[in-house]
Amino acid sequence: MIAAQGLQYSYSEAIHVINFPDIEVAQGNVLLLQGPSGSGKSTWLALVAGLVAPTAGSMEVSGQAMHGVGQMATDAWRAKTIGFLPQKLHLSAALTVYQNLALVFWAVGVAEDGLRINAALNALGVAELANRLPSQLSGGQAQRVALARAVLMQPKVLLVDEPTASLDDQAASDAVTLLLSTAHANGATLVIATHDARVEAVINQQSLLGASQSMQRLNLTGSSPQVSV
Amino acid sequence: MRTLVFAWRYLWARPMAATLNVLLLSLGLASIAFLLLVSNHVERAFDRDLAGIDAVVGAKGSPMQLILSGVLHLDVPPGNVPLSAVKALQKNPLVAEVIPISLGDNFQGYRIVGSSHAYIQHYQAELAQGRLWDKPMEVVVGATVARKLGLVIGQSFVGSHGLGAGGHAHGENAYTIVGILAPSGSVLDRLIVTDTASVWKVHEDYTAVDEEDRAAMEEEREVTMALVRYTSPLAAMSFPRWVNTTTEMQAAAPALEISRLLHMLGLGTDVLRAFAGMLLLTAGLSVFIALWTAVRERRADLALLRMLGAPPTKIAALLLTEALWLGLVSSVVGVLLGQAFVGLLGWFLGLDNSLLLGGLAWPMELAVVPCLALGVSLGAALLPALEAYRSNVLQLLQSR
Repeated sequence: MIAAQGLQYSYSEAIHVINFPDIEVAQGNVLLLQGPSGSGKSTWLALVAGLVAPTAGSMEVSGQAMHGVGQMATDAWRAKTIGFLPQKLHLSAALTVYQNLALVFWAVGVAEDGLRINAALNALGVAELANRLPSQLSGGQAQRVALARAVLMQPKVLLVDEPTASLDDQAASDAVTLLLSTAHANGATLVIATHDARVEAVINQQSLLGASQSMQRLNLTGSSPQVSV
Repeated sequence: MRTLVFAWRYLWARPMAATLNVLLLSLGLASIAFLLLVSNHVERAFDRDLAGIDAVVGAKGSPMQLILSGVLHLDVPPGNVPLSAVKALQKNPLVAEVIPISLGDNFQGYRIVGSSHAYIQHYQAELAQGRLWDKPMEVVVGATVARKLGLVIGQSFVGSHGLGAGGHAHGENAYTIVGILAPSGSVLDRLIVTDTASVWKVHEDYTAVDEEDRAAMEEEREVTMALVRYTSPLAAMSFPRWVNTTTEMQAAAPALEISRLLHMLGLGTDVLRAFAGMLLLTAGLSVFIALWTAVRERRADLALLRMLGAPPTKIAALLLTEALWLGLVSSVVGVLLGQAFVGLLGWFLGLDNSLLLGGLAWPMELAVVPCLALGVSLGAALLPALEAYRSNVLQLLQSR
């Protein structure tokens, strides 16, 4: 679950203050974080991930209050709770697909679980690519690998940043379908930050939501954010 | 453990930069290793060959020349001294042992040394084959000489005049090999040793015009020098002064002369050391630039690691481990290069015959090389590691 009330974030200069609308997203639901560039989508994602603390207001993610917690504790919490799929996938070029996933265990500081890595790759249909380098993958394959990495630790919240940018319609549709099914399979709350209208259209047209899932929208405009359900 | 694997992969993800950095760092380290090894080889050779020799007594001239020619067999002797004067030394109560040394001839560049069995026993050398000589013109050859010239027991050869190859051959007086010494690591390995009388015989036969002349020469026999061992360390205070003031000879103390020689070598070594230091500094800068660039290029990847839950210390540790690998690989390459440079120098200067720069050595001082390598690489990695530590995940989220 994600719950935010009176959330405000100001950059260090305190010139630019963003006020975010209140919202409550139930566990397993889908949230579309919409708005143009500079509207605060990245900042909202960072607040959810505990990378920055709110200047005012409160935020709770999967039972964890996002203020007054030390950095080490936040890092450990994030490792267990948050999965992240950035727009640029940032698969490490020096490592194989398998090692890119193993890197997550290293980052979290737990023993590498080969079975879980193989299962994640298998679930995303890229198990046969385990020994390839990222440079040897197609765009779609790379996105699947990055998604496998994002859900490897079975996060409660999956943050996805602009998943359809620079994809054609078919690829965009495939990507959204994959995201929803993966989040559903993991029981994760899915947050998609996007300014691509096709994402919502794909979800609506193809009835991708499960019976227990609903989709919410958080429209950010930078100055006067609006929420709709 | 995984940090080591990932750091290794990250390092070699940019093979050209990594190779150049390893090479640059290795060259600096090889220079240091080279200096350490040369210094160690020389000191070991001196320690080994000078052990148990308290003084060298020979013709007046340069005391260092006396030591270099008579003990280390690297130089020509300053002249000869009367046999009677050397025998007189034996009567001095401060003297425990006198070993005569007679030089003058060589066989294919290896010196033929006339002495007594005491010379062999002094270095605790053992026979690999045969026996020691028991009459003039029988010789025992050192292990290196036998190996390099392919000499065997029973073989005869004729010596040449002078201490280097190419002198006039003493055709009428052939030496016979009766023993081959086992390798001892001492100067004996590269010498041909015979009875002092052999040297006299060869030269008297060569220069005497008639029997009367020969008889006169026998009366005035000489040796080149004598190695002296004291009865007590206190003799070092008075014996050299006694020789230098009351005889026509000079006494040189090996410890003193070698200390002077090492001091002179040390001045040159300081220059080389400064040069190696500059190389290391350059290598350090290069490593710094490489790691700094790597952090800049991988900023988003590092931020992603933070997003995945890696604490900043872990990200910094990854960078430091990359530097550690650089240092480790460079120190291995540097030490091997250093050994190769020493071998090349020995070969180039023909010093492998003198054993001064022969063979592989792994002195404890070489531990300085990996320490320097790790120091330089980790030092160069500190700022990049700090930069990695500060990886800003917000930038990752904002980079589109």
